[in-house]
Amino acid sequence: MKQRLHLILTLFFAFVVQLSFAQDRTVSGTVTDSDGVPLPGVNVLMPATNTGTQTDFDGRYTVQVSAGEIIEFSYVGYETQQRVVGTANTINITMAVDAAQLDEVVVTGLAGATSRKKLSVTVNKVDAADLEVIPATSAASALQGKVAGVTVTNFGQPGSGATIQLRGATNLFGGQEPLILVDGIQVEGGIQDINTDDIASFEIVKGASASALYGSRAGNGVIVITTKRGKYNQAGPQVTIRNDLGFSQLANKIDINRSHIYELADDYQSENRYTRYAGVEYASGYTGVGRLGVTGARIPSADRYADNPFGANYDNQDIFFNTGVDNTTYASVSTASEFSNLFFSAERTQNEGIFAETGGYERYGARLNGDLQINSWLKLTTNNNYIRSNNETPGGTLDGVIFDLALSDPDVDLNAPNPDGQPYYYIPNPWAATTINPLYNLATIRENAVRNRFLGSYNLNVKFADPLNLDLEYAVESTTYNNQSLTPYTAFQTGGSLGGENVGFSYSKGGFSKENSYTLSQKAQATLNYVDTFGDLNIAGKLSYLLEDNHYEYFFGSGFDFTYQGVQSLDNFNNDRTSIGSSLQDERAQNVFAIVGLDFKDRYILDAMYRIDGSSLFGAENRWNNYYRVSTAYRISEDVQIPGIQEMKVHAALGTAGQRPGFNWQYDYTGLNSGLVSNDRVLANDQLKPSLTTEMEVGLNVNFLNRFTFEGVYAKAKTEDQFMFVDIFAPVNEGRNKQWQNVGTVEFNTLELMLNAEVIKEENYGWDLGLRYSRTRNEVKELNVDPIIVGPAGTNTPGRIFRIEEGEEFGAMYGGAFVTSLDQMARQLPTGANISDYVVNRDGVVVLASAVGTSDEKAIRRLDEDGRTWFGKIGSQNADFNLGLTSNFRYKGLNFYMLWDWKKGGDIYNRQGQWLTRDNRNAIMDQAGVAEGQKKTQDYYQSLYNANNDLEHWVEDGSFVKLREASLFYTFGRDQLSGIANGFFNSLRVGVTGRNLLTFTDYTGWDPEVQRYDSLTQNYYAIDYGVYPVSRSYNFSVQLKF
Amino acid sequence: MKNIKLTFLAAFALMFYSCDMETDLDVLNEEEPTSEELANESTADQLFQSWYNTKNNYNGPGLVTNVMADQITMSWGNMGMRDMSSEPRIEWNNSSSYGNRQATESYFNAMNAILSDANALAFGVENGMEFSDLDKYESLSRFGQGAAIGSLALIFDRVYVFDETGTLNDGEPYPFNEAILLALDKLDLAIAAADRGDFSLTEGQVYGQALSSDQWSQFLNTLAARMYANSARNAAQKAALDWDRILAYAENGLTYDFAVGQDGWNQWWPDYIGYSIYPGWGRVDMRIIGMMADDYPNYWPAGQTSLPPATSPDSRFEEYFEYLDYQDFPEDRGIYHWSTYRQKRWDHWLNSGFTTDLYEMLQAENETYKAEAHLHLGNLAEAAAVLNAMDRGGLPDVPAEAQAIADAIHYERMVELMNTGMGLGFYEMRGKDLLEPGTLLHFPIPGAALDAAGIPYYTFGGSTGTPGEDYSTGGWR
Repeated sequence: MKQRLHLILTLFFAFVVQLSFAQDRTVSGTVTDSDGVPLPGVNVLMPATNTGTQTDFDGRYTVQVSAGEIIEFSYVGYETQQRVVGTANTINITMAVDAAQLDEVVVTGLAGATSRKKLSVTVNKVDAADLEVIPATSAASALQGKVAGVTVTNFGQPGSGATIQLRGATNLFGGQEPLILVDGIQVEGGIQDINTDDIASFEIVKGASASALYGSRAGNGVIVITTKRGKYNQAGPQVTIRNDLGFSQLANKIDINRSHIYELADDYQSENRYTRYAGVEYASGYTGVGRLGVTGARIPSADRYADNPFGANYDNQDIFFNTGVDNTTYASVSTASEFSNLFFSAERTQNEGIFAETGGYERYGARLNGDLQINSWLKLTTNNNYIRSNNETPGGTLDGVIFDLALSDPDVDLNAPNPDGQPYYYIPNPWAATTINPLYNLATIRENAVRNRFLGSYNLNVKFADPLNLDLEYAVESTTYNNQSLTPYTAFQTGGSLGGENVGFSYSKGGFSKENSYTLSQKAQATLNYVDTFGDLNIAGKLSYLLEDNHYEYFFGSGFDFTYQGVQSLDNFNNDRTSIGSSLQDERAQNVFAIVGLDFKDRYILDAMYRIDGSSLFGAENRWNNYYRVSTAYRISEDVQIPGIQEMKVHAALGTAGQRPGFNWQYDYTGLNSGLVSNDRVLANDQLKPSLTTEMEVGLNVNFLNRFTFEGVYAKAKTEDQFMFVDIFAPVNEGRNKQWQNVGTVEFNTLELMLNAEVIKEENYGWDLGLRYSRTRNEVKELNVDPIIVGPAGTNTPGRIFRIEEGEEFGAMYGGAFVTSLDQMARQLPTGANISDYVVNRDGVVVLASAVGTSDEKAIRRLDEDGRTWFGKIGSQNADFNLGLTSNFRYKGLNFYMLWDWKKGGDIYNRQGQWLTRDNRNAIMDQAGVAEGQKKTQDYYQSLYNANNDLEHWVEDGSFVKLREASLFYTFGRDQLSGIANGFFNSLRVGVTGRNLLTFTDYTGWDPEVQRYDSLTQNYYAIDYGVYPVSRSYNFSVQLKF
Repeated sequence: MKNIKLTFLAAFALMFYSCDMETDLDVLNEEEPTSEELANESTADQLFQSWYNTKNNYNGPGLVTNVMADQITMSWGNMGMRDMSSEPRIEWNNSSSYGNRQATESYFNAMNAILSDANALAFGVENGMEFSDLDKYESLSRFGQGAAIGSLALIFDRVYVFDETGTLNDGEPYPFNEAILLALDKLDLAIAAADRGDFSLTEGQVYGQALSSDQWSQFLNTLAARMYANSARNAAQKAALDWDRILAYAENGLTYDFAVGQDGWNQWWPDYIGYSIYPGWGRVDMRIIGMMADDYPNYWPAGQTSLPPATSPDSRFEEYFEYLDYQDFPEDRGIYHWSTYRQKRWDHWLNSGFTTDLYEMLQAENETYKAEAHLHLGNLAEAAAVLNAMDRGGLPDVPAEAQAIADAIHYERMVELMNTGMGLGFYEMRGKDLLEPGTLLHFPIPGAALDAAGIPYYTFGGSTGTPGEDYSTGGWR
């Protein structure tokens, strides 16, 4: 039954009440700060009549009052002052800075704005000062290295941003992404296109105990982003203009095998465009690409060593990867007046990416944040952000092009044209019929996505009866997404002929698809706030009702075999060459929560909350779920003076939060595709519950020696009622073979240590160091179903190797292994064999001693006690620890910043390396230059490839140390610029930045920062296959303020 | 001023009012049907398509059975091909974590889904559900039941059967040979309804074909013959089949080639055929070339990287197969995977963007059942006559001799029926004890289903199972 928001409307008007009192005096005055500078916008309130005003530009005010009435002066960052109206008609006020508020103030997940010193849960804050040291490439990457326990993993592809994980992985199914709010908007569409220049601060709530206020959305923690607001500037509106120009390139090439095993033709040196092999005849005029003109088969050399040279050596990685231009232009205007403040910004960002023939990512955004103090008791806060982005996906699938690039032989000229003149010969390698020229698809298939997004939030604060006030908030996120993909009429397909020539490919007649989605996420919230003080006791509380309504719809149309060449339309196909489809999802939730925070004498702190969530995503039998938190803190240093320690606090919290199921998980359903019913059938589950994370957190905060700040947190948590898509036995379930169930519990614990040091703090120069350490351990404590394997699926199932099993960590890789010790070999000796027949070779693999260096040297699969192929744990993608080090050195206007990242441990399955071996391109196979007697045969390496089985051998340590970011900026101040344009400019900031400048790793792929998504579990996994490599980039930046 | 504020407030209130949020927590999943919503004619209309797509799916037994039969050769790892066609043969990894488990798991689940749909329709037929043509939909629903149960019985060692009356045999599985008879009972009902009725299948039901009820009945008869004749796991079991029943089916079987139109791999998925013939993928096993060609090896000779083109007295050799003088497969995986030929018979489909007809069942297939039935029933002259009436590429007539007849039937099945009905080469080889030693004769119920049902792990192949009944003790070499 559809219900509109009459409730909110009614509430709203109920509080629009004005009371009138007799007021017989006019009092005026000026409000200044301690330096005598007038303060505009100071709230001047008469609590008795609930009337008031604000000071003007000159800090002046005038009010009508009665004798004996109290006037209250309040301003953010200053202590509130009260004066009783006496006989004087002028009351001048000097506002004093509020020391408590000068500390970082945190609001997320709490009963009210709270000084960091008085927090009883862990909430970290990253503010503008932290963000300014280096312009971030994405909102997520801005958090990199700044907070312990925040793991940011970058995507290489432009516009993709990064994934964020707070503390440990909590969900077997359902993803680890935290709930993100931007100015109150619960962001559904990610933050990859949120402009970081607009961001004033992040508040990061890592664990369930702190995030409990957000209930069933917050099992993975919460990040609250607040954008900038207009500020008063005596000289008028402040304009900021910045331009960044730079470039990105592949940071590291992978080594490949530049030799082969085949006998060369006697005249091979006469040809430098390709390799002429013995046993093969080449037609005259053959240029080296394609099978046409080549007859016969290559003859492997008797020794089977890949040590013969190619007749040509192209650097295909150089051809495939480009230097991409990165360009950002940003402008903002900020101002504030007596009754309003405004902030406007606009930006254009372009990242070409590092793939040849691919356009990359472009983004245009505009923001208008405006606050209106309508009267003394009514304030409107608005945030409006419009973003449009164009993103060109590399032609065809990312998997396909990267796979084909990696497998290309070095003597294959990827730049050779096709017989019809199209660029990039389609199947260039005469010896690899299934390897398509990766550049052909990049150049031919055009896929472009356009996203239009609007985020808006509107908050009306009504101070209706001190100490109560009411927030009425409405937030909306609206996104349309249009993607279209064109394969031209003349694009090639494998098979057939061209112009009568049997080249092995032919015109495909092309294809075209369009897809469109529309997402509308709305939130309406009414919150009653209470803040009061009774002597030494401060109380803050909230009572809130929150409605959520998310709507998603999608449709697509596609066709293949164009009727008319050159006409790019879905109308240009026969009926039976088209397909269409659509989907629709509605999610709704109603949530209520209450929270109260107490602090006594600023040192004994207690906080408690309770929340009830109802969501349409919960099964009908479990539609309402409850969450709570209790937390406490004690500021020891307020009671005990410890030499050298300025602040010491211990805190502890216990709380719960959850994750909601996916849209269709509770239903009986099957897929429908252009009228065709899927044979995968899912059984309904009306008992489906949100997963429940319960976390206990203890922490210690110490500020010492006037220059060090330490924070240590230990959190122990468990997530029960884990989701899983479980196999069920079809014959007894009327053909249904799957069901979403709550199946078990994962426990995890995290230790986070942060140390900030102001190593040098002088007026003209200083040096700050920051250390962030975190380590997490997890274990599947309980599983009500048989163990399963999950991971990235898709063509060649690149990564279904992660086993979920009771007693095992989540992130454990499972597969087979080779025998790597003689002890193991002794346990699985073939009949009649002797252990002395075997040796461990130089790769650490047990082989037949007599076979070393011959084609009989083969890795041996490890067997279990029953003589079957061993299957067990072969690695773990979980890091041992992460350590971030920031260094910021300043000297006058100069600022030099570095961020070093150390990830210790965390394995990567190098599927790309394994595939490279299949096609004899893995660099380990290159025997040229290897001393005779030390060489190994191709057959040996093929035994390591082992038909792409999941094997311990291909698990590599993903540890790395990276100089992730470095920047050098110089800021010219107003004084230095006074001679330019009559002192028009306030500041000029110029500098250079670099990213991924240095990487120290033993990992053999392009970059150890790899992650591949699995849509079923909605998790990312350390699988190196089809991953767009993270690039190295350099930028030059100029920023002007006037 | 006050009016301005009130106007502003009213405007803001209006904005709230018009935000059009809904609060009802009972939300429908509108775009994905429930199982109950599938019990109607529309599902019946696509039962054939579901069965066809399931049977021929990449995620199915089509590829692995092709290579286990040494009919097609490929050493690529996909769908267990390398594991199961390497020599010596090994047992099937039936773990739910096996990377190629979809070769049986998807097939098992989908056939059960098809059976469930067909059961709901059969229940409707029995209980007065309204159909636009009762005979047609009875025939389709019984076809769905028979095809699903039979397809499970051809591939797996046992079948858990449920029909419109519920679970049969108290939930215990039937051995494959009993399940096949249940499938035939359902197909008999489908045939009877088709014979009784006067209807046509539309072009969407069997894509691109307009079939009369008589033509449909012929297909059902040959399908019954196919399932029964191919159900035997060894020659002894084959000899013990009710050949009169098979002959009766074949006598009423196809008098035309049962084609299935193709729509560009859009809604019709003959995947296993595609991968068996796609350049760089499947080649024709040397055994087949050796069988057809004069003086040509039937197993790749050591020390060779290429062989010259072959010649054959069978005119279909040139028509169906393409000579290639190079190899796509790595030699270290066994040069016995190498071949100098690929099947080009269906290249018209490949080169048309996958849009020309393929064949689910050729008339020739029916003729082989007819001939085989005559052979087993001792009617050698009739058997030879059936074969000699076929277009056999100009090969000499088959004499009325048992061995010659058996050889000719085998030859036709391996050559003529290649990449038509899924599994035909494998069924033919197992029924004649020709699969290489250790090759499994049927698959176990998939590991994930065993896990879900709490049934202990089991598998077949290599030396696991009962010799000759679960894995081959014969061979062709």
